[in-house]
Amino acid sequence: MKVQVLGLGNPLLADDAAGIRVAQALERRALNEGFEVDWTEAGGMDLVDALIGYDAVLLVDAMLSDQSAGTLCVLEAGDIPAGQRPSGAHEADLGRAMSVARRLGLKTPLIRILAIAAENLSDFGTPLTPAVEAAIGPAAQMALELARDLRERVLNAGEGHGEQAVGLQRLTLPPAGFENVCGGPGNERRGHA
Amino acid sequence: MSSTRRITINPVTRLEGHARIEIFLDAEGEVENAYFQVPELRGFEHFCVGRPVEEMPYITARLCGVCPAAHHLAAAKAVDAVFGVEPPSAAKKLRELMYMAHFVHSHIAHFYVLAAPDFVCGPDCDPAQRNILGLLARVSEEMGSAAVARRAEAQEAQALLGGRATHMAWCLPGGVSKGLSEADRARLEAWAVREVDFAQKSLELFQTAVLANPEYRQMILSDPYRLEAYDMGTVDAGGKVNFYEGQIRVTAPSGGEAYRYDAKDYLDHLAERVESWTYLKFPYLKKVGWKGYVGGADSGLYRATPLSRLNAADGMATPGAQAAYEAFYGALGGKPVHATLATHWARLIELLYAAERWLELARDPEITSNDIRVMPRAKPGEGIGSVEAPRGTLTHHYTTDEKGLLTSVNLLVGTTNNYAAMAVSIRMAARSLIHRGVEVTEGICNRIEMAFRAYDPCMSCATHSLPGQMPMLVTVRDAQGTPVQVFAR
Repeated sequence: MKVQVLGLGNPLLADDAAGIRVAQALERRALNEGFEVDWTEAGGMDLVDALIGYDAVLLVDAMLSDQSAGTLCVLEAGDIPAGQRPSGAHEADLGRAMSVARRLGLKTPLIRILAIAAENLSDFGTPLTPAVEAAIGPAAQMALELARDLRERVLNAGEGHGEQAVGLQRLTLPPAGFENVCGGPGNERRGHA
Repeated sequence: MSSTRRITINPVTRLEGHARIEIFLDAEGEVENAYFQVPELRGFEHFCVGRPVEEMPYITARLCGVCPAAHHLAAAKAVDAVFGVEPPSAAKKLRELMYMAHFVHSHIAHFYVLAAPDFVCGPDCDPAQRNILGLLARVSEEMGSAAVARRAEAQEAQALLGGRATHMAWCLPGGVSKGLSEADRARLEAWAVREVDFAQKSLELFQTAVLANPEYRQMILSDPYRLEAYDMGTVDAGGKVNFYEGQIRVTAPSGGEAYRYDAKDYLDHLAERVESWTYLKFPYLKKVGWKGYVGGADSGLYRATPLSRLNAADGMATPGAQAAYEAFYGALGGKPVHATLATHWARLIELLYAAERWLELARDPEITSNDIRVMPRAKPGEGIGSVEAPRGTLTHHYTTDEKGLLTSVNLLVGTTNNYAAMAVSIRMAARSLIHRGVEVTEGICNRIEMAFRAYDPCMSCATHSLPGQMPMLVTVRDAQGTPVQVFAR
């Protein structure tokens, strides 16, 4: 069974580096527990290539939202406000990319997304904003717990876990001392304080 | 104060490049004007200044996840020029080989994900169906599977040569860091054979699903999607399309060569117009001059697209693509073709060219040579590098101090070339489709989007932004500015 933690983002573009920073922060601990860890700047259909072959994948990414910077949100693929089709730029959104993969008979992994609310996604060469920087450690801890949870779900579900809706109530989130977690779609299912 | 109502086609994306179309209607309900706006992402040039110039092929590739190979190569060529070094023949061929795989990868994605659903499913089709899934349902699972597989192989080919697919670590001043083994060459050749076959099948699909439909054919050739403008593209010594190197050729709206120059002289030929309502600059032909958002021989507005490359060249350098080129102009009444939507067809001809050139290079006896780098010896200074990116001519221009640390950076990226043309195309489509008393349906908004989708715009690098999709929210507002219709994409 293969479970991957995959950090997404651009390492040169301010808070967009957050997903990559989280993956790097937890790399050693995650590897010790048998998870695979990687990071990429790919998106859309290119992301399919990075996801196929895994039983479960936790994506970690920066997010522009109305949450305050550094807020952590756990999302399922269906929570992403995906367009029905990309209109101008390249590629497809995550949901569509995975739909295409399934339609073509590829086995898609169980996916969770740990999103970190960003403040600055515009300035090249600048560091993470302080609130996002402060969230990297807690996010890494949360990511590790989510990866463990994903592994447990896959083990319990066996073959054909597919896209079945699953709760996250067994998680003990957020990490102790960190309460900056959003109540976005699906998060009411989580058992955090 | 004039009474206007505004229609906004707006993105709802979170991470990706934000852009929107604003269509202003006058009191009569007719389109007064249209603007295509993108936001600013700041500081890329500033971030680069002071860094060693040889880092640029790696840094600029991170401008954008959509065409990193184009930036990697334009930067590599600029760095070669900074050090005054010419890579050996085998290194140039290896670079071009990798680039053909990138073109195949990029053009497959555009046609099958973005363009084909408009034609195969129909421009007025339910948007929930007008996408690649709808396309698969209407064409064939086999073709869809092939598109995904061929695209993945093209991605793997880039990784095989460049070390990584998305952001390769390969080009060095004067060459490349790694050559090609015979075993890997054989893999590249086998993939290329399949890519050529797939490109030919894609052209057949365009013939049967698009050109054979009188309605689509009429739409492609209709006036709202026609823009007479100058065309730009890179050509080889024989005047054939070349993506990696050659001279820049500009042809007039009536056809015929207007300018032909080396990329290093681009500032003699291009200037940039700045507008207060957008962060992008509008390049135009300096010697013709800026005449506003209009086409024609007196306007410096030009296009740099697959269609432009075909118009600007005398033909294609590979046999299948040349035959497709001749069929293209035979069917559309000869050169030049100004039908914006014909860009999709031109893109498929380029797909075939890239696949055939990939195969040629994979079979070139020199491709496995170990002579892949010339060490730079000269003192660094100034350099300009250019390639044809999938979305238009891409130019990198660097200056350094005597230690090779960057003192200035200027990038003229593919989509930017077409920015003014896109604005005109959107306005023309909007004016033809939106009139008083006509309900602005989702289908109408989509037909307006088709006017700029043909350019394959990627605001990611045009704004030095993130890669990715650009989902849209279409908002129609009445004379008071109140939204009366919203279309979520």
